[in-house]
Amino acid sequence: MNGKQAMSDQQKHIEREYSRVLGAYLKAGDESALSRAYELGRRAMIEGLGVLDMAVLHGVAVEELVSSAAPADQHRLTQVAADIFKELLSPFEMSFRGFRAANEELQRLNESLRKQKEAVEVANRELESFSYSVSHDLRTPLTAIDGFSHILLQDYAHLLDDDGKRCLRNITSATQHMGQLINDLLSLARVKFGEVHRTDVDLSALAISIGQRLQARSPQRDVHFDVQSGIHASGDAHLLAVLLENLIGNAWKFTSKREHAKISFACEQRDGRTVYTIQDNGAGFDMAYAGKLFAPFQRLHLARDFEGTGIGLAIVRRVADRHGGRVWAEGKVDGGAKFQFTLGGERKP
Amino acid sequence: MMSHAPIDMRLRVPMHDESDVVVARRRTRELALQQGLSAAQTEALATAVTEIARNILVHAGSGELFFAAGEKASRRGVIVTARDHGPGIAHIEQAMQDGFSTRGSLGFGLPGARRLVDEFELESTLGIGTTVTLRKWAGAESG
Repeated sequence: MNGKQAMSDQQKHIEREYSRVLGAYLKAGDESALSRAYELGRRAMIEGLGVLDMAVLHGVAVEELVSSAAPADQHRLTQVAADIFKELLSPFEMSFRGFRAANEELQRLNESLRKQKEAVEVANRELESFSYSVSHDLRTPLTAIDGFSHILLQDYAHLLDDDGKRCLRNITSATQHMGQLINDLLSLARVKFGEVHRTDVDLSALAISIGQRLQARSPQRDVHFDVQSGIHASGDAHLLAVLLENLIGNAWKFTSKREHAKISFACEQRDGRTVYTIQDNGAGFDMAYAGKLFAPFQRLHLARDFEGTGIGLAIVRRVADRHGGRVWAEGKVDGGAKFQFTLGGERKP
Repeated sequence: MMSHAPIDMRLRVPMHDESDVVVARRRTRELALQQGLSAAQTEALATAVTEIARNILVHAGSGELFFAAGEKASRRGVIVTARDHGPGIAHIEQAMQDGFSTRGSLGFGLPGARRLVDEFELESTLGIGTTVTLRKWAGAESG
């Protein structure tokens, strides 16, 4: 592109033409000079020249005429110059009104956008608090269902045949699943509304203890869990524990069909920020659905393959959000998954 | 408003080429002066007239402008009607939007003319032509 050069050529052309037009109007009084000055102003505006450019070229043209005009023309020059200059500037005036109107329209749109955003936020908050209280209230009847099912299983099992016992066991397992769902919903809401107390958190130690708990729960599994030592972060200890539990728990879950599972937790500096990475060699996912991963209740795998409530990653995203960071994922079907997050609150060169 | 007064043929300006734009602008100034428009109002109206005259030449090839003195709520003013028998405007709303026709010319053309006058009317029928009416009143608060 040679825009600057082209513009100055155009400017020179307009300058020359303007001088000529001014001179012609002064000498012959031909009104078409006014139209030509108007057209020059129009072209200058379209070419992106400014009002100051116009003032300068007008000054130069007048200067020239002052020295060369016949004495009879000298005193007419002031009026003639004003007439022609007005024509040159008229298109700018017209365009400024357009810009002003466009700007007002833009402000109006911004304002209505802001109001809409506020309305959405209010609606969201109401929905959140509604879902929190509903979840909370659902617990009581669920506890009753769970409790009475257990009583039936323990005290009245002898009155039921095998089919009856199976039904009852299905009820208790469904009840437990629903209990987990409610707990996750409540924890999602708490992550959203709770305060963030930043302290120095030893993420490596946290990751190792989460790994140990998972291993203890399923001792038969062979998982190589590689944790980079000395990873610290400034953040809310409780929220970061929830985040790591979800991400490491996911990695643990989605590598369950691997004979030799591998999970790693590491961090690196990128563009002045610390990026934390949890990677596994598990079931992975289709990148086409990467955008849906972090939305609540989105599950990319069948419940019979990998159980879960579909809320874990929504919680992870909220924790990252609450810290001013973000989370993103890469994966390949059957080729493992890589989750990365930042926690904000830093930017070193 | 125009129909109340007989059309003064001196105040009809045919529009065939650039030189007619010059005549239209002269008529605008004369009438504006006679009706007591301020210098800034006169320039604004002349600019609007130039734009609709240009519009006729560019889009219809030819047409005509009528000039009339008017009065509204005891304010005198100038009424300019531009008429052509060109192709007409298919999407008026779009044509009235800034920067619709030419890049880098925000505020030019019909929307530009509209903002320079007090009242602006546009009527267009495909295949029949377009009529634009501009009204500018003396003593309005702005140019």
